[in-house]
Amino acid sequence: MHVSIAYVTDAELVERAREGDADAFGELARRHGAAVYRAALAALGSPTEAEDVSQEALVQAFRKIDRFRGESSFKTWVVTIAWRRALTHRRGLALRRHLFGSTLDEAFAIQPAAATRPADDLLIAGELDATVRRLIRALPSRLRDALLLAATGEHTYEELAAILGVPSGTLKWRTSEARRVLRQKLATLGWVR
Amino acid sequence: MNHEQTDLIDAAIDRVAARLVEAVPPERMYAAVTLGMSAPDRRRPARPLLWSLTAASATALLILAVLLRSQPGRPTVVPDTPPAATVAEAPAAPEPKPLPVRALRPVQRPLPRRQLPTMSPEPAVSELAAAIADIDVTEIAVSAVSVTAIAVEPIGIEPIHVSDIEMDP
Repeated sequence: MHVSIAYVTDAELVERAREGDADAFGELARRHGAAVYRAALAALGSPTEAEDVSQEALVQAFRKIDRFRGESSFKTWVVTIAWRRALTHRRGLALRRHLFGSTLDEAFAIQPAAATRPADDLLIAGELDATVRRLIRALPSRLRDALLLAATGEHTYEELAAILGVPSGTLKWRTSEARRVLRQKLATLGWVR
Repeated sequence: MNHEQTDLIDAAIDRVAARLVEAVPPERMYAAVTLGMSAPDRRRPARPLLWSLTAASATALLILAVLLRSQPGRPTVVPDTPPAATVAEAPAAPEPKPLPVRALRPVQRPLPRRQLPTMSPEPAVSELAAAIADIDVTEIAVSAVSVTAIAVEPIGIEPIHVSDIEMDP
């Protein structure tokens, strides 16, 4: 009886991909492509750059599938590959920005809030959101990475700790510290009394 | 900061952070991945260990040879156009002594012709001739890249001319 590939587990798909089944890996890419893309977006802030890095990471994962030992889930493994590539890419972008000026204007761009509230509320919320966005961009990368990766909602703290290569306690502290710094800066700017 | 404000700020942080990473990857990304999977891996294959060791040994030997050749105190003269027919080696002189400093002044490579349009004969040749005239020479070794002259002290020995030296078979 033919079983649709959509019902096959990740572990079985990995086994098939190891045997060279490109369709099996294609299904894995479909299942976890969004997580890969969001991790890259958290690191880079630019959809274009995130797309390039995600694509490269998935192809690299396909070629190195033999090295996947199953110690973590396939999703954690492939997101870790993407995260490392994204960090390397980010260093290159930072160098380019240092040499040639800002090339990341679109980084961390944000869509305007949906019009579901009265105009005054939207204005205030929009201004607050813009301020928060600016402050998130200004966070140290360690705090920002933890905050944004957690915001993807794709991973548990343990998985995120594995991706970042830090103890889960450290990751939790970084997320909490990011919030504390943001609250403090918003207070300084007069958003809270 | 009261609870209401804290909740408002926390909600704003969550909202903005989620919006920054909530995007869905475009469909073309999967198509590009499929294409990339079928493309040949263009990474450079790893070199075999034996090849790497051989290359490293050869490099080390080359560096050693250069270092030994460039030892200070070993007079080396570079001719302008070494004639292939004069390549020969005289038998080693007994206990050669170092050349007096005054006898072999440092010979510099000639500057390019375009900078010295009227200079004749070639400076390096004249320098070499002057150096040979000042000393007693028992050995002249001419190779494709250098001329080495070693002086010895016994006075009265006739200078050896290049044309007198038998060619090595």
